[in-house]
Amino acid sequence: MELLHGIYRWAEITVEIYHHYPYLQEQCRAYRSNDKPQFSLTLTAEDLAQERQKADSPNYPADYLESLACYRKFCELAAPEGVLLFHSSAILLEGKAYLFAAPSGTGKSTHARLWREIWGERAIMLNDDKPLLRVKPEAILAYGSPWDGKHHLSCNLAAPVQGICFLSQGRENKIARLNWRQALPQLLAQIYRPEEIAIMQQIWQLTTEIAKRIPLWQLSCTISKEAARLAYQTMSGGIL
Amino acid sequence: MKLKAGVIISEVDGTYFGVAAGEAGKAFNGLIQMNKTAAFIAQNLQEDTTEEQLIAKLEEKYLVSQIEAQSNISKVLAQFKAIGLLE
Repeated sequence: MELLHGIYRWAEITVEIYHHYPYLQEQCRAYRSNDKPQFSLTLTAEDLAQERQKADSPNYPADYLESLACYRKFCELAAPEGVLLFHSSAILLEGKAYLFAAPSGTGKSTHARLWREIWGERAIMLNDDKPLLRVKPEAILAYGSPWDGKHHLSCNLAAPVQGICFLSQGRENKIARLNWRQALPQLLAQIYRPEEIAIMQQIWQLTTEIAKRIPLWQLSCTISKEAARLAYQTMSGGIL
Repeated sequence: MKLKAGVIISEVDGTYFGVAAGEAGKAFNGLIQMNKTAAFIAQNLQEDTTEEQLIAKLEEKYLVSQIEAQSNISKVLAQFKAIGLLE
């Protein structure tokens, strides 16, 4: 089987990919680049086999597994560049990224949808599932990527992170600031974890930096526009 | 006895944390928060050791009694065992 080839740019990292299935090319179309690649990745049959072992369903088709393997391998080469995958729903509003994280099924995509219902086209989905974060000396930025959840909501943009909010379901809407020590377990739980120890050390270092530099919040909420307004008002002002 | 390979222990602003990758990561994917003594014990468990050796090291480092050292070590060992990180 002849390999397909493409050059893509994610979180300011340009990478050329050699792979087998057209699905990946289609998925990553909006991220094509003409830059000189910094890295080269080849997705092998072995990568696919490993991905199949890790997958939560045995029935994923090979082209989807190849796509998962691609993101995994990208994240592992991106960590030394200060980039990690943060499982969350990332909304871009007024030039800032608002990130909502929660265990699967809590309703972070639903909450993000309410932001779009309130602010219309002004609220853009950077990524509804697996955005990338890049820790820079001057700012921490969130980036769109094509691994974007079941509704495929994402765009090829970037913005400084205004805040990270951990969601839980509640009977009323309450938001509180968390200090970095309180938030670390939840933050780490939503960050992609590599198997390789040296890469995990880099990811851990980036995680603690994100925890200390970004305002962190806990929102207990109903599924309502009031909850979305409360989150925006509190997080955008950065005050309680 | 020793910890499974891949336990990363680090200090962040005076708090000690443990995270796991590699073999250890297959057993545990949470975050461990530790005091200084527990972190010292965990560091010494990165290499194969015995409870007696750990007690001696803790006595020397923190000038504590054997009973106190033993009690600290038992607690830390039990916790690491409970989360599957002890080999």
